[in-house]
Amino acid sequence: MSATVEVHGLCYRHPGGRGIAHISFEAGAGEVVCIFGWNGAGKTTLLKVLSTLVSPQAGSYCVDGCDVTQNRESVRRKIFPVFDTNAHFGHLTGRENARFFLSLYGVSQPDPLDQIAASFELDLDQQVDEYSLGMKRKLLLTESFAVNRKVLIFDEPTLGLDTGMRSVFFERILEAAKAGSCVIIGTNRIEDATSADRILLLNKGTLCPAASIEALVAGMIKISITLEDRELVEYIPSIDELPQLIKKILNFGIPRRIEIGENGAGESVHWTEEAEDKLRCAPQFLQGMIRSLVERYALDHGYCRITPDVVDEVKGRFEKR
Amino acid sequence: MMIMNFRALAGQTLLRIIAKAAVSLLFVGLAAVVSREGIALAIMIIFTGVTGPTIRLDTMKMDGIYDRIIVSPTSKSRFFLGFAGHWVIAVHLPLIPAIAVVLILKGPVTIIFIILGTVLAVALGTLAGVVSRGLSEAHLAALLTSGLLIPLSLIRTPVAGFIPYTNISAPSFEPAALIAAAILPAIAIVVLALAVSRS
Repeated sequence: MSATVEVHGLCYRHPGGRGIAHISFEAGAGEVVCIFGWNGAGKTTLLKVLSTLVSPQAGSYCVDGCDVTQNRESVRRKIFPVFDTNAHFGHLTGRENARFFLSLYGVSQPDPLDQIAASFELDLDQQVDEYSLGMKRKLLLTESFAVNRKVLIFDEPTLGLDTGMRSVFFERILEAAKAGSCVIIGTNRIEDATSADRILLLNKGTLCPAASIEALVAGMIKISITLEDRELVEYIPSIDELPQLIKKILNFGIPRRIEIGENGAGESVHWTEEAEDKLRCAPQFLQGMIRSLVERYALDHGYCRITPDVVDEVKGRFEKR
Repeated sequence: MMIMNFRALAGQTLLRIIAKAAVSLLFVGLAAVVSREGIALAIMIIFTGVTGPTIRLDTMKMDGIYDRIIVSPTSKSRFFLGFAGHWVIAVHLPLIPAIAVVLILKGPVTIIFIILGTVLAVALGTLAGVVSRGLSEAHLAALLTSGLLIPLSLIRTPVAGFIPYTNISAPSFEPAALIAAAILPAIAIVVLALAVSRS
């Protein structure tokens, strides 16, 4: 029996030169495949090609035996893509939006809509303009599960979702896979990749040999961020990514504490009283972050005593970003 | 469903329609004093008919809504012709009082040219919205299209007979004039349907 999704030698280059090259993989019915890659790896480009938004410049892409280059409309009848933007009409309610977009898929009476929305704790009768980022995402995901499609394609599906809602999303994903859908998820979050049957690592536009979670986690920095009522765990490839991550997190509340995982350097770090005084001058909500950065910075640079100079340098680095 | 689609695609609110109705009535009323109500209405139809759908499509592109429509299995020709249809209504709704003034002064058959003129403007505006990449391009396309239509309908050239707006300002109710005025809107609709069918 042939695979639901067959991709062979797919290429797409943006005018600037970036893109994807020679991508090949197959995914079967009931399978959850994660395309994992860091920012700029080419995930969104690949998912745009798989969503039929852009045509591949070379290679072939078939869904359930239909070739996208020969019969794009047939492919579109078999897929439901969820892009990384929460595209909705702000002046309409969630329900009106869902009805509009589902009608494009020939679904006029989406029976399970309320049930799916309820599982995401989403009020469909509220105007979308009044929705938060996470609520808009929930609406998009609700729509995706309300249509029965052979292939569900998600680009950064958990963007803006809290921990609880992420679990709901992955429960839904597994249900859809059990019902026979092939699910493709593009993400840069390790947590999202753990639910996949298979992980494809995308790096600089090309697919690397299948990676395991353990292989991905090795060498990355584990960050625990404590917000007011919950703790998020993220993995970042380098400490330079931290300010960007904090910037994203700030949309959902000011972190109370950020803990950076061990890097195995085993250096002992000692604070001096003067450094502590210096740190107290920083705004309250930044203190935890700067402290963690200082600790990390000290490990990287082999400081065994953290002086006011080190605090100043790290503060400068943080504020510059 | 149709009303919801109208609200979604044409993006009009009651307040906006009332405000536009008041402004257009004032504009046409003032023009009627110097017997230029037809020209005034034609200019309003050209501007709102071209720029409305162009800018709407462009904001839909910016919001990502356009991409979602493109990747859906719905027929693109049918969708965009429907979009244009909603906009023909959206352009006419606030102009109802102004159109009534023109019909009283120019004769009821003028309504045919008004509708044909709106169809032409909206079809061109939708086409401009589809092909433009970004808000500045959309503005430019809308401005160029409406800027071209106005002199073409006002200046007495052989082309003027084929522009429906000429007949709003100086109506000719001959069957040949009606047919000539219908040619460009029909071509614009066919071009629009063909242009979007491969999206």
